[in-house]
Amino acid sequence: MNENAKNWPTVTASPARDLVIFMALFAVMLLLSERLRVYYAVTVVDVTVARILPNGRLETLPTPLVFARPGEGYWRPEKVVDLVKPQIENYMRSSTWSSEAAGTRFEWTIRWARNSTRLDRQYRYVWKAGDAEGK
Amino acid sequence: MFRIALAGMLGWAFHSLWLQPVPPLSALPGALCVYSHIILRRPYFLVIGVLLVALAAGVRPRIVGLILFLLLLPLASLTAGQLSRQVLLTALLAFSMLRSDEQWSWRALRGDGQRESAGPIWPIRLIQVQLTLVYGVNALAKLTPAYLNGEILIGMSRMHPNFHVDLSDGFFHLASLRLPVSIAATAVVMIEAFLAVGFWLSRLVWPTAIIGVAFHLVLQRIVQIYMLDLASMFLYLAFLLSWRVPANDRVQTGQADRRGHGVA
Repeated sequence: MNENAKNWPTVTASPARDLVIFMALFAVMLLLSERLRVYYAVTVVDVTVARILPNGRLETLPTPLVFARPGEGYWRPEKVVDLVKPQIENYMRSSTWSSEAAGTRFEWTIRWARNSTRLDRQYRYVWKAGDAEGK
Repeated sequence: MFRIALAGMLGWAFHSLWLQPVPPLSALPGALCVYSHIILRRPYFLVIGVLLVALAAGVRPRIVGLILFLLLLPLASLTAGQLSRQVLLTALLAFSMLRSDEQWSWRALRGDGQRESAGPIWPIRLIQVQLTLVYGVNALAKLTPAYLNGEILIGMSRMHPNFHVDLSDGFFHLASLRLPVSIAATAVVMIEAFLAVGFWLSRLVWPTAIIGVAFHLVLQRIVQIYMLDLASMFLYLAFLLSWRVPANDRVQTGQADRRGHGVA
């Protein structure tokens, strides 16, 4: 270390200790910087529901508001079905739809994609009115 | 001056009414109990408030700063503001290494003798690096075809409830401007990359700060951000303020000297 460097101000009275602290904090900042990424990815999920009457007639129903933005874009794609299905079941159990005439079915369609608006993954879930659960 | 501004910013950003703990801290055994009985209680915030006033007044800023860092650390794991709090805590920890009580402080008011040096410049460099990382990692994360062609922005405008605009038609409408989303997305990446680099070029510091503020003002029209934008803009001060080199240092300018070794 040259003479000039010895006169440099320090935090710990030791340039070597200062360097260690600097490098440690710098390393922590680098490691944590990944957390600072925002608005760079999204999982687009779309949920629709249709009623199929006992006579086979199909009616598209307005999607309930609770399914307007499932996961608000933050869900991992592989978790979408696992997370939406219980919500559908809860909704069906508490809504008046479940008390409709026996034989009526509710076909829920979940479509989703990661970082794209072309929703190329799909899952269908059928709920039979009068049944305790869907399939 | 940075010390006073930092104390004010911390007081504002760490206001935690209605917030709840989230992992990873809340996952620790007994953490929820500690949060509900100690940390998220009025006395805890009262202590923080007193220490913030002490920091602003320059009363033993290094010790007070470090204690504040430890007290504020658990508040960085609540349901909102995690990112901005991480950024501000880094700034606080780094700044706490400096003897920042030379001016505008209780010490100066008492007329205590001048210090030889407030300390080295590297804590300020850490704060500056933190700002570069905020913009740098975001620019890098967005360097994907899906982001640059606008698909992600369109998807986010559909899914995120804090988006003020609907980009479903593939265009970003700003006043009379009708910009294809892909161009808006590319512009975002370019601006963030510029903000990561521009502050380090001495001639571009002020233009970069102006572009940064304008960028965040436009962003507020598009998406409601909790606090990260304000925390980032706050860190501009680390580049804009004069960090004077001490009298015994090699370079004696009395003005901001970005090559200097220390601050006074």
